[in-house]
Amino acid sequence: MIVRGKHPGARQAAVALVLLAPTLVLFGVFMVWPAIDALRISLYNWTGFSPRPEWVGIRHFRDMFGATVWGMGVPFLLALAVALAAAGLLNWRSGRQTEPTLWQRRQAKWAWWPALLILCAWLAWWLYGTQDGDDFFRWCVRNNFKLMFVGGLFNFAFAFIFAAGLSMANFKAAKFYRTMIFFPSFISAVGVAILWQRVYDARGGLCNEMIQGVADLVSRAISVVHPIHLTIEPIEWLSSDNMFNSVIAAAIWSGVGGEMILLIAAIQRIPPTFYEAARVDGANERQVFVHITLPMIKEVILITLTLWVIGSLKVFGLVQAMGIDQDQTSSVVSTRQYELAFSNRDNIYQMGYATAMAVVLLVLIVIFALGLRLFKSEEELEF
Amino acid sequence: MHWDPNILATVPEKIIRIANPFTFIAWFTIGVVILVAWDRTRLKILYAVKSLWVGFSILAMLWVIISSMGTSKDFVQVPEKALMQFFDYHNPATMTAMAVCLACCGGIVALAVMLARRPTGGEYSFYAGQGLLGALGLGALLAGAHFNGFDHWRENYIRAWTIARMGDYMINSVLISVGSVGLITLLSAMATYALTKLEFPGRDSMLYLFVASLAIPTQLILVPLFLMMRNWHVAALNFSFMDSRFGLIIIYAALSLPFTIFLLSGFFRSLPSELGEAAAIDGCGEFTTFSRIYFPLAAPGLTTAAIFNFIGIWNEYNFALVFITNPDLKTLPVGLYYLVVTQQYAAEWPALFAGIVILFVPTFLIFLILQRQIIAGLTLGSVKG
Repeated sequence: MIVRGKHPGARQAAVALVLLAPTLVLFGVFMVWPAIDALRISLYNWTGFSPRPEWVGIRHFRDMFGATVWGMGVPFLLALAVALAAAGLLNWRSGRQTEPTLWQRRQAKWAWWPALLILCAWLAWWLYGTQDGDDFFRWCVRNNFKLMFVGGLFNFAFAFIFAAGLSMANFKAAKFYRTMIFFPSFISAVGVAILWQRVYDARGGLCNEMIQGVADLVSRAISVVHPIHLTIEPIEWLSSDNMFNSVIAAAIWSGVGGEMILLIAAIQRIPPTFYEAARVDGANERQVFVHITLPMIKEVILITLTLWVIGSLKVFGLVQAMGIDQDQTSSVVSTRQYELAFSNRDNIYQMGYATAMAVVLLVLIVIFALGLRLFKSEEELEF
Repeated sequence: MHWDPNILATVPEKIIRIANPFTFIAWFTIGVVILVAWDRTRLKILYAVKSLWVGFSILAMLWVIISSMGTSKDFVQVPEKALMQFFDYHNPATMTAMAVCLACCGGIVALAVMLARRPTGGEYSFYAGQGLLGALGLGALLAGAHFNGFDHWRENYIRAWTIARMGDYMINSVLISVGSVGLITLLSAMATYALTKLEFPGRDSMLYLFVASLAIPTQLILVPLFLMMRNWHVAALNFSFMDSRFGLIIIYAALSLPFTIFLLSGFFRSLPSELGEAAAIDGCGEFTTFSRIYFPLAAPGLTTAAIFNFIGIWNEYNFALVFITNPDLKTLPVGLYYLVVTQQYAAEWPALFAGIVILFVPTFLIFLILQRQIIAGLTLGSVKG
């Protein structure tokens, strides 16, 4: 920049401040401050309407995790502290060197793994191994995890297959397929929920009709040799047992498009010279995919995974609008929180406890987001 | 010899059954697989999976549209009959209408393509003709439906629009989304320019703060924001953040800013800094450089960000549910949600489906027309590390 005035740096800083001011005000007042305030509210018992909130300290968290976890948590916490300290020391030492090599940086990063594993073990033990604490909340977190892992697996598998297929040069009508796969991500969660409710309808829903249609075809084929008509017992897709699986299927349907588009964009951004060079060197299609395409889009894959993790942990609209069944088997953390804080089924609003749930959600998201960051490669690819 | 209106009634039932819309998707898939059997082996599977997926999506949407044109009775009791009745093969009027519709259905798409591509001369008239044909085809489909007793669509949509108040909700949704998207676009462009093209202490950590705040779940700030907003009202102006469109606009803007800045920062970085330096030599201040050079240059990225934000806010549901209780101010998704809740007591399926169509059509049109821009914006380095 051309130097003007006595203090060009100060001038730029002033301009930047003016340009940033509205954003910072909005961001601070409506995001940072409420997030900090949430930590405070989670330490109170508050209906939100009584004049004075009652200080309860960490009791909400103790209720949530149960005395057993709290007591057994101590060894876990000690182990975690040791692992974190070791990793921190290692990273600090590597950072102190003037120019740490790539290998050293990688090594330092791997030092975080024990801490992460201990944390995951604790989490798994709390979710699946204990009977104490808030059972219903644990059920909700388990549902979130189910959506995250099972839904994520299918979601990502489909997104990857679609993206890989659609970016093949000899794939015909790629644009049509791309549009049609992408458009469900543009429907509101409420719309998706209603549509799938209709699809799942036991009497005459699309799912059962399609199964019956296949049965008709099969029975028609069999009828060539022996007259028969197969009738399928209608499946109750929205019964308490099947409800959450159905929600996961709907979430996959509406989620694949967005991830596919991100992956396609990443694949299209790879310069064709890379492929040409590989072909000249005699690489076959599989080698090209494994050694060029995958490393080049690794960054975007990680972003996509992170977005899915965050999205699946805070999913609300789809589950709420699909309807919570009688046994509340399909509740997730956010719907339970909404129920406690704003829906007066019991005429008691538990703002404090609901916020404590959200704090746990935040911790989970941070753990998973940081865990995924460990996979990030150290080399910076510029292209 | 008398004229039999049901010419197709003489066709054996077997053939009609094979042409059943439900089995149609299976035939379609099989056909596609056979077509590409000449091609490479891997492609076959890809096509099959994708065709199944897309076929299901199309069928589901079709199902919604058809449901919005019948009566409750048709769909609660004998849905399959209703669908068969809609595509009544016995009725020559329907057959004609469907043929016309199928012949012309590309027209609507062509119209969208025309709007996106800005064609010239002869192409223009070709696309316009296609668009006209598409409109004709849709009309033919509606006419065919009309002959089959699916003449309730107008009534259903009017009921959804007026009695279920989708019209009012749509106005609210439009005001809120347009307002907040405008605000977001302007503010995030300013902020991203400052964060990427100006030098000042703490710049990188500020950008990092924005990126880190992406991890904050909306549920965390829902309750504190609710408690905070409830206390903020100006009695003299009769203004409150609760139950007001303005309050929701501000909230949405604040919540979307970090993601938008994250999306745009990569894009702004890809713009050459030499332009700003050249402008500085010519005597431009930082503000002029921003408004005259970087803002116009960033238009593609800003458009992409605006589209994403618009779709997100148009469909947003959690905050609108908590912060809006006044029925006059509800947005479309919330209105639809309450329609679902009340629907448990009064079966109003068709109005509900009409509501979905009303909710969905604007986003679908935006998507269809601006699809190119969305992809281009993503490819231009906006989503990167």
